[in-house]
Amino acid sequence: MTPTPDSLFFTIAFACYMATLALFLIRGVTRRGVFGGMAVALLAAGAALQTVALLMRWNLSGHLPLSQMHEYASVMSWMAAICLAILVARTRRFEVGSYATPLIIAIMAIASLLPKEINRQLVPALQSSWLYIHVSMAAISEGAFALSCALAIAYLVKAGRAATPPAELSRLDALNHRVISLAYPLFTLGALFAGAIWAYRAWGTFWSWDPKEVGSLIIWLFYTGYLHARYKRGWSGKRAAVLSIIGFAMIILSFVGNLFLGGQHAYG
Amino acid sequence: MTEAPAATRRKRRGRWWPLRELYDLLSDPSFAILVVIVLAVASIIGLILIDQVPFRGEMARFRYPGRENEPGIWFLIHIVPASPFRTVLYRTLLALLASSLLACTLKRWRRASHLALTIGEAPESAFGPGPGGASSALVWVARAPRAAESIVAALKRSLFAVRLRQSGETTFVSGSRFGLARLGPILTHVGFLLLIIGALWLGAAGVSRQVWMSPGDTAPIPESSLSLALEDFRVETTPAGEISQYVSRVTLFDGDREVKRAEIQVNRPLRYRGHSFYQSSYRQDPNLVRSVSVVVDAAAGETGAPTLPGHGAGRHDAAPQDFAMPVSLRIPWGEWVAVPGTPYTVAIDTFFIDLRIDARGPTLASDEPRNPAVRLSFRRDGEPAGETWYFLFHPDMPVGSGPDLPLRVTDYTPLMATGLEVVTHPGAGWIWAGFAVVTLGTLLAFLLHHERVWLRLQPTGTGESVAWEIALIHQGAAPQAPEFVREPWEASVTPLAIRLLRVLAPDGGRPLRWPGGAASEEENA
Repeated sequence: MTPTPDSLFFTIAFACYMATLALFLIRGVTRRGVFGGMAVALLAAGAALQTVALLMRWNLSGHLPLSQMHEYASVMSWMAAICLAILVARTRRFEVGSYATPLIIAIMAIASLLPKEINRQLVPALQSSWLYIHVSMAAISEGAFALSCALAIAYLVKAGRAATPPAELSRLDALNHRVISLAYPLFTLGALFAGAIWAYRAWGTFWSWDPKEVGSLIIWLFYTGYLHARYKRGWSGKRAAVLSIIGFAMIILSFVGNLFLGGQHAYG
Repeated sequence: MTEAPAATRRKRRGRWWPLRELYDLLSDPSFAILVVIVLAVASIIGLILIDQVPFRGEMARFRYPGRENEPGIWFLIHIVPASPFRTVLYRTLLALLASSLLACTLKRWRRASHLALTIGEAPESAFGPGPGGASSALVWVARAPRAAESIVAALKRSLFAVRLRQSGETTFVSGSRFGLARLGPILTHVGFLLLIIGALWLGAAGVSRQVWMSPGDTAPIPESSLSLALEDFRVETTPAGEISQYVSRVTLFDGDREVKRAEIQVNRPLRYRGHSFYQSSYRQDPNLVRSVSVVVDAAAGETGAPTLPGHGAGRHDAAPQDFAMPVSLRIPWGEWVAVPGTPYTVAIDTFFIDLRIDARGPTLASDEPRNPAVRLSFRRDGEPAGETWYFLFHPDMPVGSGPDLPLRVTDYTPLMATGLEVVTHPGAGWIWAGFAVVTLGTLLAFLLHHERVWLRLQPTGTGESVAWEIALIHQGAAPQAPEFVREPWEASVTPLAIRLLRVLAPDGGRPLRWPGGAASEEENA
């Protein structure tokens, strides 16, 4: 596989995220804020380098880097990194970084394993401005769902420690809910509606029960159930955290499902 | 004894109590959550069935002829549906979801719209002590002479709708901001209801059929006066050979009247009076070509064309000419071309992209170019001189009654057929309305947060020492974030409450009481 020009920046960003994780872990052990600050700075630097990599792909291909699974996973991890950097910088909750960064690294690892050749020519089905609306909103929302999963893991780990003050847990729970409240409307409007409108324009049908469409519907139904359980039945804390983790596991399954389920969303 | 209360309960509910019970069930959020979960599980099962069981339902009957009674095949035919998402069970779940959406909307719209459109009075005893004796309001003292006006101005700057009420010497201020957020969930539910209705309508009444056309073809559009003529179809490619677009140039007729000329491309359909025409596919026409290339080459030797079984019309005299140099010919479809150095002209008679010759004669075996074959017609002095099959992959095996020329087919230019999807979309208007309403509802529900404030201002002094004891309740917002808390009391009140306190106590005044705590009088001095 010939390395593409953006590979260097992608790889350095990947390394930055791994170093970020190390710094977050050191901060967790030493309790020294300076390591937390360094971790956030390195995370931001990684996100900036990944931005350069994505811009290079955009420049080389002539279209937004959203037409391949590698690009999709890269945008997803990029969005999760930006959300995490903002969240940690604003709230000074460095421990969240210890849980979220491994997820970002995992998505980057998946992206690095996928074919990276740059498609200069989009296949006719993808030549639409809806590509940018649909795919970017889906990737951004799924990046935010990744962050909510990390917050849920952080919650469950802390809830298992008797010394954790309840206010700390409430704060993590509220943060998780806020992140899902950002991701859910983006997913609804971007992944489902924009996708359906685009399908209507390109294929003549809003919905064709394609495996990816059904996968997105299942994810959406799941998070719809989560929000109703939270608003109407007061589900919060551990139960909400477990649901967040299951929800993101579904997203990963739907993403990886592209590789073996095929269908109209299998663009390699 | 136990029946009496039940009868009383029924009586209290009235004669329509079964309907009311049903309505209560459908509008119960727990029921809605259950339906959503069951629908998600059914979708997962459907996904597995549709993708992992390739031959199911009636398809399995054709796939496994004669084995219908084997348990596994019987299961595939009778139990595993052909399309899980079109089964009665799945549609029933969708109908249940729609019913739940409707019942929830009916039950909640009155309260939601009231909250959205009115400012609202402070709840009874809102300013009194809360559970355990703790105050639920932020209370402080301000010495500003025009405290109410300052608070109203501050609230309006923060986009609150405000109402003032005077009761004796006490002033009550009520404020509401972004009440429209209350309509978000209602609109979202209504929008999804519209989407489901539209989808069910479209699924039941929508028509979609694929039409294969080659350039020059005209296809009538069923159940309409329309017909579509294909002028040309081309596959556009980049200099690197990558496909960049499929383009069908068409003319649409309504009766005999030409109504539209257009180029249909992927992502650029043609729409006319409820019909949409999509570029959905293409293929090489299995029975047509633009042209055939042949070489007449003496060096190739005598062809010795045998007679096609069942088609033997006797051999014509072989052409006696010599071909010192190979001669290339291009024979366009529908044209007669002279074979240089011979008295013959030749034209394409028949083409098969995958010829099979069996007892029935020549037939098309598949749409793949596995055995491209062309039957050429010959004329000599304007008179028919026989026909011969030539095979692209077997150039030394011509079969037929044509002249014995050293001729072989070297290539052909395919004629591409376009696959157009002709679709009608009844119910699409409901779907578009659903998209719009859900989008509006989602934006209202997730971008805006309904907040309400209530203040009670009571004078605590007279003359020169006039002061106000102000009690404030703020609903719908989170307390100050811990990283911005500067004093302990700030942790239990909202940023707006802190700001309003600062408006009337710019020198950093402290409250008398706050939710969950109380300060001493000395601290407030």
